[in-house]
Amino acid sequence: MSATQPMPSLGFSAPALVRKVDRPTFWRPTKGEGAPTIEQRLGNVFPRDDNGTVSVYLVSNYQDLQRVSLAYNSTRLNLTEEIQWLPLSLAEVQAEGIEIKTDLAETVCGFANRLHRSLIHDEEKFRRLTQRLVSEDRELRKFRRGELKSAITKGEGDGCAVTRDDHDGSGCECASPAASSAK
Amino acid sequence: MTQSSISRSRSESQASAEGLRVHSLSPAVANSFRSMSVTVYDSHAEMLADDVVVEYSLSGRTARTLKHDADSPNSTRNTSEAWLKNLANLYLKAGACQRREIRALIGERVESAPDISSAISAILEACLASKRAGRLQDAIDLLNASNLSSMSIMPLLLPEKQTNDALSSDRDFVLIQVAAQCNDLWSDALLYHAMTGGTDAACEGAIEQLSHRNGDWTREILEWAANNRSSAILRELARECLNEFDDEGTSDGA
Repeated sequence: MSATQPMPSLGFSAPALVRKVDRPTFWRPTKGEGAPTIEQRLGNVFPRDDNGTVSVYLVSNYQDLQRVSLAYNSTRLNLTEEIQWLPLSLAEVQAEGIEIKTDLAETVCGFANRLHRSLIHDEEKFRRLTQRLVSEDRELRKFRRGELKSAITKGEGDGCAVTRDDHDGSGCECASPAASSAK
Repeated sequence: MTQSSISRSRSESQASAEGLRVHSLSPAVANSFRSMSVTVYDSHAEMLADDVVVEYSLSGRTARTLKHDADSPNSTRNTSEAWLKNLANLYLKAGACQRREIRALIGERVESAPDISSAISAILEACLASKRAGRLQDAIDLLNASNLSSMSIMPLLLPEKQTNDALSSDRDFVLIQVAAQCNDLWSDALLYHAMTGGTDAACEGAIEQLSHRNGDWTREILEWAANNRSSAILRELARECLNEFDDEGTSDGA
């Protein structure tokens, strides 16, 4: 795995894994009154899916995060709903012995699909990971409406199928987003 | 998301839609199709397109229109494409309804539902029953495991049935509680339902939830409530919520 480098847009070092969190109240606050318990976080943020895995994306730069966010919203009614991402380092996931599997997602963005990874779910390992994240006050990264609008503009320029009304659902095959608007 | 590969098979059936609403979808049809031939009508029952073949995946995440006769009567390119897109999503929902997790949750009630709105009502009833049995979280977990796309639900929940006697206060509570705890896809659908078709109490709960979000859809639905809810208090509440959005952030200040 390549060496990490600062990724200010994520508030984290890249490459990083990002996990979609449906509601910030599932994660915040990390301490004090109203903070979710470890078990609540485990159940809401790292639930096991039908395949016994937890879905994440591997992002190495801001363009990756843009495209993954767009792809994620492609299953919703519009592309600009804000998204909360929980960043995870590869090191901390591997430190808990969680296996990372490379497999394709099924969004209409072929590029985002290739960034998908599945973490093999093991309750005890994920409990330890959750405890580690809470002890480090790990913050969520909100991908805002304005950022999504920029991502749409960029996706349109790149020809990403997510941004096209006429896509046939089979997925675009962009090699990668152009690196013109890195943050 | 799950990433299992999707196998596709073809079996064609007939169904029709008026506007964005499916009038009938028999259990037999819903159980078997992977692709179907449909006729699309607008809200005035004018046919927009005939013999449209829609293919979708059982995972509920991909759909496409395979064949569309652009020369259909009354069909204009933009209109028909928009309708067809919604229609494809509608069938995603129908397919996803057959998933075993949902069947386990709501049993026969969804399978025998005459349309998708009825299916949503059945889901809410099931959640209510789960709550009474002290198992609401189980119901929410099942919903979250379903990978259902809200795009397929919301077009069906048109803002035309705003009644205050349709839902009991207990159902209001469940509706909002489930919306707060389930994944975005379900939450979008349930909040839409609460905002456009729910009681005043449900709508108030939904506005509170939406105040922590931001996005064009969020704003659109709040705008709708600000202009169309019968309660002046709710209209004002929705308007206040909209005013609190700035260009970038949300009112939670995160």
